[in-house]
Amino acid sequence: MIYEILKLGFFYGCFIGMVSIGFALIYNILHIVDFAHTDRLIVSGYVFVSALTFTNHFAAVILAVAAGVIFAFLSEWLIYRQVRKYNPKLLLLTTFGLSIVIQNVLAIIFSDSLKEYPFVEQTVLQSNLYIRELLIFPVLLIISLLLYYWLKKTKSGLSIRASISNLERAKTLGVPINKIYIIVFVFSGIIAGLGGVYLSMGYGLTPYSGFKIMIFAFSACLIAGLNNVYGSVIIGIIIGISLSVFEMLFNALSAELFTLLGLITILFIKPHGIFGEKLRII
Amino acid sequence: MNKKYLFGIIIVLLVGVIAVSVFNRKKENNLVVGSLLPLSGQYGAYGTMAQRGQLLALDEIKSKYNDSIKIAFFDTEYLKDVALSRLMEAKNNNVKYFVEIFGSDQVEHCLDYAYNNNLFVFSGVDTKPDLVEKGKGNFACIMPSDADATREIFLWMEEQNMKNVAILYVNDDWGEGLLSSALYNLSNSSLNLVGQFDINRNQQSFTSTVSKIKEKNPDALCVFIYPDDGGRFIKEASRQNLKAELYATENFTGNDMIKTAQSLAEGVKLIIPATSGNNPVNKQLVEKYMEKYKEEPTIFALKGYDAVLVLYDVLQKAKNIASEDYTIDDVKNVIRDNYHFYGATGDIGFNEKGEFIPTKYERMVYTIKDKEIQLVPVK
Repeated sequence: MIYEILKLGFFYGCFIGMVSIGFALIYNILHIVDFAHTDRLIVSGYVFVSALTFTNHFAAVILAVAAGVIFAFLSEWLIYRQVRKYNPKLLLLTTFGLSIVIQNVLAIIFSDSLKEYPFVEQTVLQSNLYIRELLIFPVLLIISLLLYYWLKKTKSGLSIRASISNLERAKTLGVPINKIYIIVFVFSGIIAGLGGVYLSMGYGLTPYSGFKIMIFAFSACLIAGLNNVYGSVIIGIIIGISLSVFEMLFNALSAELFTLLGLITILFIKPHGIFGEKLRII
Repeated sequence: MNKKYLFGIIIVLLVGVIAVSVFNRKKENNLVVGSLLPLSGQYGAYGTMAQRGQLLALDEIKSKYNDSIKIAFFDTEYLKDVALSRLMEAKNNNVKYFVEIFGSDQVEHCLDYAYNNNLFVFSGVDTKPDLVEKGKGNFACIMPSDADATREIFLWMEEQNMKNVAILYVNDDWGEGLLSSALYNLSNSSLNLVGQFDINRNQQSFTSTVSKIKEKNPDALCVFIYPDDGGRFIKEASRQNLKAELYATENFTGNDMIKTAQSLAEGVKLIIPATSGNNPVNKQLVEKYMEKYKEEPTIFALKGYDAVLVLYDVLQKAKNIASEDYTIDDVKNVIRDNYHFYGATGDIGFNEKGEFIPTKYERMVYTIKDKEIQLVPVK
């Protein structure tokens, strides 16, 4: 039994870790929590499930990722940028408002009952694992490596790091800040798209599913230290495993309670996150 | 002179129109009954099923008896306090008779108010034992109670030589109600309880739950959870090769479970209050329902349909006995006086206490037939 529990926890943790990368990136560039990040993930999930009614899985994944990217781009370009221009203090409230708007629009379109993946997943050969489970860790690894390469080895990555380090100085040095914002949001949109596919296949979707994911993914960022992207992946995996273990020991409700209590305790002891400067890439 | 004539004619016409409308209003049936259903939120699908059945019954009353009673629908969101405030709102609008307060805990929360304000509540779907007693005559229902359902499930298990039983239930009012009925009936059976496991509504994953059940190695598992959760539970149970036979109630007849579990639902056993599929009323309703909503009616739709027809019939009988100004007491007397009605779910009757005389249960099993998963009666 413990193997099943750890396995589930690891895969769910990889998912949380993946989502937390998007959170960490946006936080570092905007210095706010983008509450709508996981709602874009849910939108991508709905696009994926809806697309399966007229196309194959591969095309549906592409459409879901495209939806995540377009939606992230539009969020930044149409909404966040305008708010930043006129009153940056309202940005946090704006992301919260956008989150509520997305949830309500989804509830109107799809109703608030659970939307299920319309196929029975098949396990791969003798592994007793679904294909999404086999893929989640390699995908997370690829995203992490791409992110590392991008931030450390490319000019746009250098610009991002410069903007995060000192925004005003980066501006005076001619770093195209708005372009940087768009690139970060597009990257977070890709993550949201892939996350939406994973979530819809394994767990089903409601317009409000993003809230809990947001809590755990953002907790992973907080515990790791907000500017520590890889640390948040590791903490995400630990959160996933602890949710499973507590669920085995008690039940699903208690699992969330105990995991969050654990996270709060860690924050009391290490308010700046447990990794500090270690594993920091931005 | 002409103007005077014209004025006179207009006055006469106006008086005539007013007189005719007043006369017609007297003849028209102004009865409005209330129906308190969860029409939004995560239980909204169930309320909608019952509502559809009720609307079809209204159509039938209109076409058969040319009577235009109306149903005022109220959304309770499946919340006790909301249900009570909707009941108060309906009472303030002079609604005295209710054809549904969906949800045992919702109706239980409303029964005192109904009794104190002389309201009569009828239900097609509520299953909690003792509701009739708590309603002090102002409540009647036509769905057998949870206690009957779990007793029937354990009888079936015993006949199939099961020994060790586990119970999986959703940790809300409905699931916990079924659990307590099951535990009571289990103590009167030869079966051995090896574990009870709760889940949340819309729980994301069932891996831990299935692992825990597997560890107890039950022969049979009562699955008292909602159909959408049930579908995902069955998928995970299949992946982990859970050997226990699954038994559920009429709750699993909805499409949600099959949509998710598909062929994996093969072998799941269901206990359903007999709907007498061979009776002509049932056949007619199924045809109408499928024509209008393009899917088969669930037990909630059938019971919703019957509830409206029974309440209408009871009110007509009360009117015949006591005149136009019949009271709630006349209605209660009709129900207690060996009342019977033949509806889409078969013969509906009440004993002298106003309690529903339980119909038989049907035993069904999900089977793959013609490459499709179907609910087939067990012979």
